[in-house]
This record gives sequence, structure tokens and C-alpha cells, in this order.
Amino acid sequence: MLKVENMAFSYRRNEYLLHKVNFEITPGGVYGLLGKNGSGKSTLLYLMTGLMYPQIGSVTIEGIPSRKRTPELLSNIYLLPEEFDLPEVSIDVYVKNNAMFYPRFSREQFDNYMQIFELPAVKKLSQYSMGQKKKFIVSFALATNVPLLFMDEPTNGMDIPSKSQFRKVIALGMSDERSIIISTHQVRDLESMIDRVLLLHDNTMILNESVVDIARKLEFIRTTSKDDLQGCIYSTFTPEGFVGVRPNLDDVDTAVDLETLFNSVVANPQAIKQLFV
Amino acid sequence: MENQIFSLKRFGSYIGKYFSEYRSLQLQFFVLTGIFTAIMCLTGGVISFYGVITPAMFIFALVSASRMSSMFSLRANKIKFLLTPVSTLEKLLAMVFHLYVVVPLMFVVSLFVAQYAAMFITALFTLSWPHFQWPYAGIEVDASYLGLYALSYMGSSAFYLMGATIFTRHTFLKTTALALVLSFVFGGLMSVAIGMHAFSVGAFTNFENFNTVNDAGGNFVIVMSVIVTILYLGVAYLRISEMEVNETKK
Repeated sequence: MLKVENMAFSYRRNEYLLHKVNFEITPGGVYGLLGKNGSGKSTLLYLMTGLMYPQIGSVTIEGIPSRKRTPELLSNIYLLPEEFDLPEVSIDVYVKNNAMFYPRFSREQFDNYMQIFELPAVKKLSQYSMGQKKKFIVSFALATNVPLLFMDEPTNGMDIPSKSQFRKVIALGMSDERSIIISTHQVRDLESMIDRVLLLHDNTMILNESVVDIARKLEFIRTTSKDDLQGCIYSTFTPEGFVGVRPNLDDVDTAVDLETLFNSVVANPQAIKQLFV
Repeated sequence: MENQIFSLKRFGSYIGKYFSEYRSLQLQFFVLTGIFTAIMCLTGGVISFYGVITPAMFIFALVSASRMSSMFSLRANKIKFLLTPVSTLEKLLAMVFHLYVVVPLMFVVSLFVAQYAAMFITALFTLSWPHFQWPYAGIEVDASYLGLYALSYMGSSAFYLMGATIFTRHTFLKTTALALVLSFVFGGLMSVAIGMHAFSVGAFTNFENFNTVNDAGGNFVIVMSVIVTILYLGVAYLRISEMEVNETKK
């Protein structure tokens, strides 16, 4: 569906923010795009949606370069940016004005998501708080039923109940035909939803694996005894005890801890790379 | 599959969205009507077309064109603009429609409303019966200059629209500066051709100058105006189609 081939991008000459990036987004699944601040997560989202152009390589959606931004291509993608502005119109007018550009838009689904988010009816969208605006736009984005939905830090500004509502609407909005790519720092918010991890580090995509494969290859340890951390490629002390990651040599079934995985990649990228070659 | 460059249905939908979400259109109309009403009250219902209406319309259109840069100046707005599923041509045509159709129409309607509002206000203050007149009776227009005026208006609006796609901050000032530099560089004839000199008050009031232009320039001026207008719109089109979000810091 979406293909990134040998892509490189830089804001400054000869100083690549992203270099030799290769990956593919196939239909069905929630992709978690993780990386440190300034690692290029938002930039990669903009490159995938054709809002920026790579200096080297290509980004194509169904074989069409995303930079072409044709109406057909744009009606198949939706980007929910971290910061956005809603016009001073009513909910119905907003839906009427925008839904017509997305042929698969479902008003029924939209109303359902709005209900799950417990959004009150308002005369103008400007009456919503920042968090409510975010929930409104998430509802709209999911109801478009576009095959490729990109979200940049979608849970920022959401309170604790809203985050569980968010997980619920994402689960409801998922289908075999669509992929949702979520760029986030809040890995705990999305841990249970992510099917595949895309991890940016050192100017490239260092990890592109399904959660199932990560669980097969890595063992995540939570322990109170330091002795249990033998063979770990990364370990640290937390208020709850020790956490660590080691190669899953004994086929132990452990839940993937995205935060620990992320820290282990940052701390020991070579070891992770070797494991996932 | 729908045409990817232009579809009337898609364009119609976009126009509906564009004006439905354009916040200040109603406010602009009321302010404009209020100003015209006040002028007509003071002048007894008479208003000069080339002395008042055309300069007002020029300034209004040029400021409106410059304000279109707000669609590209902030990252959030730019993303929304660029990812709306319509073609670049349709996005540009919506702006052109705004400047070439909606702005003149707004003037026509507001002059109509202002004429009758002024008539009733005057009657109220003088405690007399309203003096009914045909619509636009107080506006005297010499039709022989309308063509040149229209060309000039379209050229100037297109120039400021182009400016909005180039300068995302202080658009009006920067575009005006660019216009002055270009006028200086290309000289008087080019200035006339691109409609730039009409921006100066002298051009609106010096009718002899228009006559001279008509006599001397003739078809050449008309052809040049059309070409230059298309050129400005072409540059604006290319700017929009090549626009990226990393051009803005916010």
C-alpha cells in the first residue's frame, strides 16, 4: 500500500535527518512510530503524506508518488497533525463540508465515536476545549475510513478516561483494509493496540517488526532480583524493581514492553539490529 | 475515476467548504455596506465610481489576496490546505473565484443595500419621505474605461495572490514592495500592462492617462495584461503544487 524506498531527507545540506529508510505499510494493522525527540517522526509522517519531498529515494502510495497529492490519493489518506485548527462552524456543517471528499465516510460511525468520547453537542466547534477538539477530529478521521490514517501524537491533550476511549475507538475503527500509523511518545497509552513497531534511531529506521516477532525474539523481564537480569542486552532500575530485555532463547512468552524495548534500542542498537537481521 | 486535474463536482464542493469556513466574509460585507451607507448619507446618495468605489475595491481585493497567505503561514493551516482532497488547480481557482467573482459581487450587493439604507437614514434625519431612485442611480460610470479597469483589477489581484504564495509573513507589504521594484525595473509600459499603476490614486483619477493608454497601447496592452495575469496565476499554481510544510517554522 505505502512503500518507502531508500529514502533520505535533510533540512540542512549533507546533514541527513533520515537516511536509507526502507519500509512498507501493508493493509491491516496499527503501526507505532516511535523515536526520540527530533528523531524525525513527524517529518516521516509528512514525507509519507506528500507534505515534504525526500531528497533521495521515493515514497509511493499504491504506486503513485505521495508528493503528487492528487485528489484520488488524498482521498485515501488522512493525517491528524499534532496541532490543528478547526473552523468556527457547527459539527454538522464541518461534516457536510469535509465528508464529501472521503467516499467511504460513515456518519453512523462518526456519531458512534462521538458518543464513545462523550462529546457534547455544541453550536460551534470553537466551543470545544482542546482535548474535546482532539477527540472530535479523531472521530472524524476514523469515520473517513481511509485506507491510510496517520496520527501525530493523538493522545496529547487527552485526559486519562479519554485515553481509554481512544483505544476503544481505534479498536472499533480498525479493519483488514486499513492501516493506522501512530507517531507517539506516549507508548504506554498505545501499548495494547500496536501490531507493528517502527522505531527511528540514528537517522534511520532501526526496527520494523511486528509485536509478535518482537515477543518471539525478545524476553522482557520484570523482577525484584538483580540476579534475574543475566544475559540482558539492556536493563534498568525502576521504582517497581528491575526491568530488562534479553534474547528469547528459551521461547518464553512475555508481553512486549514498548518503553523497555525503546530504551534498549537506544542503549544498545547493535545488539537489537543483530537479533532482527 | 474522476478527472484528477479538474472536476466540476469536486470544485463545487470545495467552493462550498471554502466560503462556509471563511470566517470574516459576512463581517467584511457589513463593514463595507456601513462605509458606503455613510458616504452616501453625506453625499446625498451620490458616489464616485472611479474616485471611491474602484480604489476601495482594489485595496479590498489586494488585502483579501494577501490574507490568503494565512492558509500557508501556519503549519496546521498549511497541512489542512495541502491535504484537502482536491487538485491544486481547484484550490487556486477557488481563490481566483473569491477575488474575481465574490469580491466584485460583494461590492455590487453592498452598494445596492447602502443606497437604500442611506435613503431611509437620510429620510429619518430630515423627517421627509424617502426619495426612491433606481438601483445604483447615484453611481456614475463611464463604460469606456471598464474594460481597462477590469484587466487592471484582475492583474493586480493575481499579482497579490501570487505574492501570498511566495511571502507567508507581512504579505501585503512585501508584495507591494515587489510590485514597486518590478514597476521600476520594467518601466511605465509594463506597469500599465500588469495593471500595477492602477493601484496608485493618480491612475484612478487621471482619465486622460487612461485614454492615452487606450490610444497608444491598444490591443497590445490588453494582450499583455492577459498574458501577465496568466503568468502570475501560473507562478501561484506552481508555488502551491510544490509547497512543503518545512518552509514554515511554526
